[in-house]
Amino acid sequence: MNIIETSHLSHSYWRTEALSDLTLAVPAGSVMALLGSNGAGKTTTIKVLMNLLRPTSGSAQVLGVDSRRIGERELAQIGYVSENQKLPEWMTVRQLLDYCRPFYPTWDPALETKLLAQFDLPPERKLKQLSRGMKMKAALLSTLAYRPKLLVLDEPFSGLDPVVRDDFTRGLLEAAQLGDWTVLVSSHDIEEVERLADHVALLEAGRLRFTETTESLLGRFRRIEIDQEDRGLAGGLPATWLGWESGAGRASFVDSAYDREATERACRERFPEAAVQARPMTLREIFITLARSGRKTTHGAAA
Amino acid sequence: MNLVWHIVKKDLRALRWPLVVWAALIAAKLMMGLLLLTSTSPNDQHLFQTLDALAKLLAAFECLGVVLVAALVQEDLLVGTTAFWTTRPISGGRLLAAKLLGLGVIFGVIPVLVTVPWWLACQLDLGTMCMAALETLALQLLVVILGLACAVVTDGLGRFFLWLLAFLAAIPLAGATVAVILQRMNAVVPADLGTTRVVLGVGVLMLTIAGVVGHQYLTRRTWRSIGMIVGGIAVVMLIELLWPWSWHIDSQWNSFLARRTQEAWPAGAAPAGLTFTADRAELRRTVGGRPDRPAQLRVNCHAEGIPPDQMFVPAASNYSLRWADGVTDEGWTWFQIGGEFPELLLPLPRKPGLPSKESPKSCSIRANHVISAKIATRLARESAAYTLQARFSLVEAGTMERVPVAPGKRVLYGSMGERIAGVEKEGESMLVTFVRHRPALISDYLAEMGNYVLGSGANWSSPTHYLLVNPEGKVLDRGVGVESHSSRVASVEVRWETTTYRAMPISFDAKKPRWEAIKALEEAELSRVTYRSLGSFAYELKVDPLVVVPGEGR
Repeated sequence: MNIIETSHLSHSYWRTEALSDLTLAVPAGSVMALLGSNGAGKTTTIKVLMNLLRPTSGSAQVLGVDSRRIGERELAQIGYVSENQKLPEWMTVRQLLDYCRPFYPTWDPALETKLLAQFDLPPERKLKQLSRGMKMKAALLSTLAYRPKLLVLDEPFSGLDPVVRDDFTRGLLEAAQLGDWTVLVSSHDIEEVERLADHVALLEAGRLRFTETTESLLGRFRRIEIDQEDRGLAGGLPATWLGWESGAGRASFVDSAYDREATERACRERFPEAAVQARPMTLREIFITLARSGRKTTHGAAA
Repeated sequence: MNLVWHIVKKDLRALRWPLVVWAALIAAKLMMGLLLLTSTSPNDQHLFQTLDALAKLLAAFECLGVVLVAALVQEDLLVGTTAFWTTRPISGGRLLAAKLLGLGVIFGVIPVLVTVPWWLACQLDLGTMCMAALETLALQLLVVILGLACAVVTDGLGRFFLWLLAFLAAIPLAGATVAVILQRMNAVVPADLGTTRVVLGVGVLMLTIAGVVGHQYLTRRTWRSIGMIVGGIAVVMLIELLWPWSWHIDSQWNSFLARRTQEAWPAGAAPAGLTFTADRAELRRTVGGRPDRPAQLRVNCHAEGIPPDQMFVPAASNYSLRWADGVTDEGWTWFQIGGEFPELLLPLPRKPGLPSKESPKSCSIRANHVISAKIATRLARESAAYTLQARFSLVEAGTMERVPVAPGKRVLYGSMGERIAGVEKEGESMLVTFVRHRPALISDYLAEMGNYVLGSGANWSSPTHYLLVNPEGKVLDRGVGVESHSSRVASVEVRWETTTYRAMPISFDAKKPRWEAIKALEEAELSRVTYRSLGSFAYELKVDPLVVVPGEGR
């Protein structure tokens, strides 16, 4: 069962298309990371899903309801934390929790107390007196305490220093053990996302490049390094080989469809005497490779 | 409903300091009223003007309530995608209900609650108090509607003020455009149709704003809401230009006033033996006797058979002039009472403690009418049939009571009250300042204005008069009003009236030296006469033909 499903979803700001033809599914219980560089359409996607923006075309279903029809009942099961959200800053942390509590029948006071201690938030301090990271934690706390079925995090790590970011991620991971929820997190901070996500979707210029599980993604990408004299390429490169670099007796590329036997065979055909090494990649490296190759493609297309 | 209250409480907590300032502003205005009412130096004209100006200024500051409307609405923004409430289980309808309730508390409950002590201090009865509260709510509603129209489509106070300025500029601009177009079309809009268009236009504008507010809360589609505002203004302009059907609002209002007049001044209710006749009529040209300017028609009348001890009080009335060819002129009349007026005003009653005196049995009264230059020219040339629908009241002195010649406590007459606030003796004359208050609702002003314009009478309302008497009870002087200032604070009019009294007439006669007048004043006392209305009646006077003679002077 999918908690979120979109079908050919598009959104334009006047004449600028921010999101185009997005078809995506977020399975129940998954942690889906929506990745992409700035302006890729991540926030627009989330805003359309949350009914903050109306789709220009296509449709989106959230918790089985058309995104344009999301009402009080659905919102009581969705938690949303965004770097852009304006919190009622005149409130103290406790006042924020007191204000939010009556709107949620599923609010768990014990969980609230536990998270308050876990996030190390000063309950009597006003939100405007808190640091950015603490504010995000307060927003997350007011979201997690009612055990939402769906947690939507829009750029939650943006602007946080590494310590706070780590704190926040740890808090999120610990909280994840307390409930069974589906998470959609958009970020360009891939290292943090890697610790959280089991599904990844990559957006580029408003379009979905791919969506798959993190395991499969990490499995199919390898950095291949070849030790050989620079004698040029024998024939063309397969389309799945990205980011070819060579020089000083070494060459490397990223295989985006890595299969040990097939990759070794293909390398041997092109570089019969070379020593070939395949190294696993982090999500960040994969993202950078894809972003660069995408940019090249875009530039190429533009040229 | 609990969640609606929950949101209201949050908003009130968020705005608690501005609300304190808001309530303090209203309280400060009322404090000015209280100072006007209780001042111990009421001869100080400068003090009155200062307090009055401050009360008006503070009342004007209440218009800053629009900022509160904006702050309340923008506590949960309707514009943009960053508002906290939009991703919480709060529907637009619920939020709208909460905001309306919040506005009700801020602009209804708080002003009324803060003002109630003032109304109680002024002894307003429950009915008047309810009317005053409604009036307060209506005035606040104007501020709220204006504020709402701009607050729901903006995302900050800066933009709100820009929109407010634009909106405030758009209304007179649209009005001026309509006026110019009508002028170019040479369109003549009858008064009744003009009133209908204005009422309808205001109604459509209010409905548009209500629609925009509802639409914005339920859909948050800001550009469409802005389109609705612009469309609404365009529709209002079209109504002002083209609406063809009159709802006869003017006529209905006039009929209502006429009906009320007939009830208040019933025809044929005059006491037996009282007659009212016309002697002669004069036509006086105004400035320089120019024939192209309106003229004044003065009809000298005579009332006979006024019962003893009663005062004959004329009210505004109406007249008609009719010629044989059907040309008619109608208008309103005001009266001036002749030389007997002072005596009439002092019908000394046969009450214990005071000597009796017969009131005059007759008096001369002049009915004044302003007529157009055209009618005046024709009237000078040719007599017309004249009808005067004259309205009068009869009053008598109910009680007389000695009061010390010194500042004293307030005396109440229903919802009206007065007190002697200051006494100053200067040689043989004495200045007494009275501070009076009475309910002054805008609806009363409107009705009174209508009554005067239509010549359908105005009620005699002064319930008391102070006479200067000697220790034996002989009336020495009725006093002459020398100064009067009035201020209106939260539906109550406060008036400072200074009257000068002399124990003996001004005389340079050696037989009555100045010291004697001063001594008489030292011994004199004040006596408060409280009047009682004995009834009102209408008297139709017909003169056919009315012969006018040219008058002299202004």
